[in-house]
Amino acid sequence: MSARAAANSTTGLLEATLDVLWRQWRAIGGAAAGGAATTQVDPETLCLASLVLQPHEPRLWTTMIDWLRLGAALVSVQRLKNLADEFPGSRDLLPRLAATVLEEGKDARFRALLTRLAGARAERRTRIGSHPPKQRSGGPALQASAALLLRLRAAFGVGVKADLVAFLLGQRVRVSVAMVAAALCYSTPAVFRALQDLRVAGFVRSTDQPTAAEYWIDTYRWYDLLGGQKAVAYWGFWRETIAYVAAVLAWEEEAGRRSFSEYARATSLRQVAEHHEPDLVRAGLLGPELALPQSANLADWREFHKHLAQRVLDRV
Amino acid sequence: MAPRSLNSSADIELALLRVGELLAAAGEPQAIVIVGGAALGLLGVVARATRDVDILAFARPRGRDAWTLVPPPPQLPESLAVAIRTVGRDLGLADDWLNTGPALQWKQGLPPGLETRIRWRQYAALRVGLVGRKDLIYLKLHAAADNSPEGSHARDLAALDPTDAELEEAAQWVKGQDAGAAFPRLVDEVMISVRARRS
Repeated sequence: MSARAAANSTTGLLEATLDVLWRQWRAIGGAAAGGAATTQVDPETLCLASLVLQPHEPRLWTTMIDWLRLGAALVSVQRLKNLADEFPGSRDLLPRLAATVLEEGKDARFRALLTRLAGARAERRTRIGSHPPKQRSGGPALQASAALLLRLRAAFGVGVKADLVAFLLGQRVRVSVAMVAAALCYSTPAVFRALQDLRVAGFVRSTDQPTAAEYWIDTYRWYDLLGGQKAVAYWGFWRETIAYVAAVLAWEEEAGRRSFSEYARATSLRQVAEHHEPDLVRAGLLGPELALPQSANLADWREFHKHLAQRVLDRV
Repeated sequence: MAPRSLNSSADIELALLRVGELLAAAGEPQAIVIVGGAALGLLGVVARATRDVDILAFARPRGRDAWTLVPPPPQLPESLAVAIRTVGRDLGLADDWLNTGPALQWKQGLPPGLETRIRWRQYAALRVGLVGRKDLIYLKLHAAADNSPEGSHARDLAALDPTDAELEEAAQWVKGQDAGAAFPRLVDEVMISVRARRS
């Protein structure tokens, strides 16, 4: 298989991911077109994904900045930092995003993302994309079920507890502290302390095992408050999903610059995928119906990514 | 599943090429010298299956076309170790199918002039040196005397079809490698066995 054919092996996955991003921006009030999003939007994942995928779709930058003008206050700067390493290249781009949000959204918290950058003032002038000339979105839309996390942040403040409630409301099964910490990218102690607080307050329930406790929320008790069952979307595990896509695209870019043999390409792609395997399993994308190829055959990986793209679209 | 053997010279070459491709992707070329059954297979001396490929030495470039042999490091370079494991996984070989087992030979000494008789082959970013026939006779006689006059090393030695003069010359060097009182007799037994196979 040629390098071009290898690149084509991820085209469908990129297209599916871009479709997810447009749907999510639309679901939370962004000036975007697209179908509905039926699982919860993770706003920091959405921002980081839009940041690193904007070379493939420049309008993402415009849409993101347009939304952040009014919605930046609902974004967690701490989580942006925590998640940045999951999205190759985002650390270099975050200061530019922060500079633009500081200027456009007047949110001083984003200054924390500038500290890594020498000459931040210069960066303010070096923007990735053009600024939307006028405000196109009406600001965050919080009533869609997919916007549940933003809605809870708007109610209770941006922090781990609002995120935990949104995450737990979006689960089908009980979850462990470690699982929550991995999914939300907060530290395990922070998640544990917040869960204890929520449990003491009667918002969250837990099993009795002290060392392997599992947590859940009696979702039905929240339905009246939130507007019925339809107001509560399942958690989408989009960080796990899109971080893999971003890693594969970064791999593809790197592989395109160098003359790898097909075998070396396939094994390095497999290495990337195996690194992300626990995430993809947690996201429910891998299982009996779809497993990572064990082979070092690029055709197998092309087929895998085709199926993965379909599963991503099925879950949005 | 139990690891499989390398069944032919084409099989060995494929495995070495795969390692070379991974080293190329890592941007870390390596040069090694191999001995044993794999070297015999690649030289077309024997056609038997072998479980592994034995690295006798690493080579460092010296000038344009010359190479200096150095003992294998106690731990393989990371890129090479990863490549060996990856190729082993993909071809169903043991994790240590490419190993530095014969490195101990450096303590006893290498056949004189060995590096001048090496034949080099290039597998992507992996340069592989095959020791010459004379050195294989020396090393196989030594290994057979250490092992058994009827074992695989003795059979490999017979396959090299050494002349009496070559055997005598090799025996002189081999007997100097081990101070044990019984060792010269073991060397003689191997020589008798090899001559018997010839007739």
